[in-house]
Amino acid sequence: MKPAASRLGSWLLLAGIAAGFLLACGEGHRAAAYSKPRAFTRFHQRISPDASFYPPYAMLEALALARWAPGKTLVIIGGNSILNGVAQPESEVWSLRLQEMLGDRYVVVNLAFRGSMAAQGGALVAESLQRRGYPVIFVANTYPHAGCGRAADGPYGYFYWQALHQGKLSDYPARTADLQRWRTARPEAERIKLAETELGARIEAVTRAQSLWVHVSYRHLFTVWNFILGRDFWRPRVWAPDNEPAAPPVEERFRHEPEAELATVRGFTETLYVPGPSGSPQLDPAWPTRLGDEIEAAFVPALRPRMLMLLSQSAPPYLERLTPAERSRNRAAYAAAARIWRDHGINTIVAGEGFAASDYFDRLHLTGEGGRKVAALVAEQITQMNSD
Amino acid sequence: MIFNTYWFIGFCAVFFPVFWLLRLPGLRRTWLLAGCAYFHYHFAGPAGVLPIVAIGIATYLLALPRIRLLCALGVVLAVATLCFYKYAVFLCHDAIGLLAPRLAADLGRQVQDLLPGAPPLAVSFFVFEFVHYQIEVYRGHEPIRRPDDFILFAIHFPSLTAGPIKRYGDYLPSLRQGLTGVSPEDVAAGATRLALGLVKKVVLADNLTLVIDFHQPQFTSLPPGQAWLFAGALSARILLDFSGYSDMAIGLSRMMGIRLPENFHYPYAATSLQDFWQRWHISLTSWIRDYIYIPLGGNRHGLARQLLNAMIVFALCGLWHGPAWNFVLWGLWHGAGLVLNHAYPRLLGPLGTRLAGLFARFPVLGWALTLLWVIPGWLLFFYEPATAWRMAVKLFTFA
Repeated sequence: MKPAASRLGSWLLLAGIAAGFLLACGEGHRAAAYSKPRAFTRFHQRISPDASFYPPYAMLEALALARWAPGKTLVIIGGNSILNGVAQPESEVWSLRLQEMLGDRYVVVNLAFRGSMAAQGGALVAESLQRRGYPVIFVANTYPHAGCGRAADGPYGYFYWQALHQGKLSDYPARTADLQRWRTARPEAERIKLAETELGARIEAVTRAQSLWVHVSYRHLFTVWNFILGRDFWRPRVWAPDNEPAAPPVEERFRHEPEAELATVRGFTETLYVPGPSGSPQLDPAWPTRLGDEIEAAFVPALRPRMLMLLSQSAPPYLERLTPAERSRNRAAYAAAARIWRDHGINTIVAGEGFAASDYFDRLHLTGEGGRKVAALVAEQITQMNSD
Repeated sequence: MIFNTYWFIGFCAVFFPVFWLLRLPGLRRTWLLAGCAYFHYHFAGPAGVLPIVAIGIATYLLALPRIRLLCALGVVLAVATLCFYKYAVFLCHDAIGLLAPRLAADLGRQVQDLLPGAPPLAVSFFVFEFVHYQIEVYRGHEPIRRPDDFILFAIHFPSLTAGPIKRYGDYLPSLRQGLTGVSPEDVAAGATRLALGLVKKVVLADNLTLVIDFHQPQFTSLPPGQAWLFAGALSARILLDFSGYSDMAIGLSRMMGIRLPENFHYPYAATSLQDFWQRWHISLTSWIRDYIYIPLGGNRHGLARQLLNAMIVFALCGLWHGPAWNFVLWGLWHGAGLVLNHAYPRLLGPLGTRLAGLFARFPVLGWALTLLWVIPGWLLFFYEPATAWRMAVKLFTFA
């Protein structure tokens, strides 16, 4: 090729790269505004980070607002796999029951993820929308010992950084200071990872590369192999329906490593106890302050009265195997945790008290029937909260 | 991999536009120097930078007077650094430990107390470039006079993480050219090469890694066809991964108008093992040829010595990849292959001559045999010798 032609070709290529980049950014911004899974019920496993599908924060907001209309209250569900509806087939997901029970005046959106903490994902959407004047109620779950986590922690931490750098969150110094302290105390490798996640969120705010990519991978082509999809990994995720199986008969449940599961149930509350003056276990006196500080840092004050926290109780077959003393400590820990949450202005209920073994799929997850019971509890609370 | 991090995207977004906009070579040089230093610091951390800075200063100063003894000292120092950081524990536990376990345990404890948690990143690449430099000066070539030239040669950021291993005689003229002016052709060619590397690494190699890691625990229960597919995936993965890195390094350099040596040239199209090693990790192979194989005598002292040299060289080549026996065995496997490749026409007499003729007439036979040697070799590269053996037995018995 002649030098002049080669030079022109190079300029054209570079101009093409620049134009392509700008176009992709434009498309990314467009996708961020509307792109969301079709006929959305929840982030089932095949459209979740478990299967290398990382919905951007913008998608959560797009989902929350998709069905909303003036005069309706948004009920945003956060929390973990229990509220995601793991073990409930798509048609039995508890949030559908909740929507039915609450009626048309409410729009229920299930933004819970497996392994997510109460302060993450949905909590940020609720804060952002409430700040913009939407009538919002936020529902999440946790356990007495688990607190609410930190918005920026773990695999869902990117939601926080994206929301922050897209200007969605309130300026909340308590959270900023807490995150700064927490971040500084992390090992160096984790700090580097956090910095990388935050930088990614900053870049996302400008380019919306993740929004575009998730849009393409949902509708057109996926490129990351994962064992959940196996040889169909390349298919667009719109193809992958929610295939959560129904629970097996109750006599076939609770068989998976029962001793280990029982030890976990014990650990849920035992970690909150310390030896008292007489030597017998008592609730750690430092715990209320610890949990209280966590709550104060995680949720902006304006959101707290509009929040409902569920303290998820373990399945009866495990609770029944605890000694009477352990059972009593378990009850006391749940009651104390509920008090602490309420003391910080958050409506709290223990979910699972009085439930039958058949309401559970395993140690924690609820069947469709168990989900219906939770939905009834939540609907009652929400109606009350909204009328106050 | 640092090239597909957000940090690196941010780094490039600032570094390259400024590099292109600066027209004065001096300013461009300063900017490149700052970029390389910042990249190295971010990549290796303070603990990883200090040993490299120390050995770099020593290398530069020892070569400057062009005194052969000092150059030799520089080589010893660089190799000792590599041995200390990368091979000390291996030498204590796996080499001395075979003969005197108690002594090895004592030594191992003392060495471990001295060593940092991990060796300085890319120490093998640094040391190979420093050794090359000292030997070339020892052989009478001009040393690098400007300290900033030397620093740029040492920490040129695109090749810092995984090569290609540069030669200063080629690098410095290219650097000057890049500092004087970058053409749009260079930028376009570099960007294209960078994109190719990213696709190879991120889209293909990383996906293959996921598939391989998932199926590896079940390898023994895979049907024969799938087991061979697994071995093929393993072979594709290492090529795509490593050549992807090289493409990115070459592309990023080219975007500054600086040319780096090629590192791969369709290695799986090789029709003999010798051909394979002229196409695979070329910058390493040529380094080993020039600085180990030829000084050992190369092919100048008869067939037996040539074959012995090949075995030594490939054992060291294997060890360069990591301080473990499986790497040594992988090197020896290739050394043995090359010995066979060289010796069979003479050893088998007329049959050997006929075979050689057959391979020359039907290159596809040589290609198939080469792959049949190279692919099982990767099992040794990736797995413990016992695991690799079990996997190889399964492959060849079609169990």
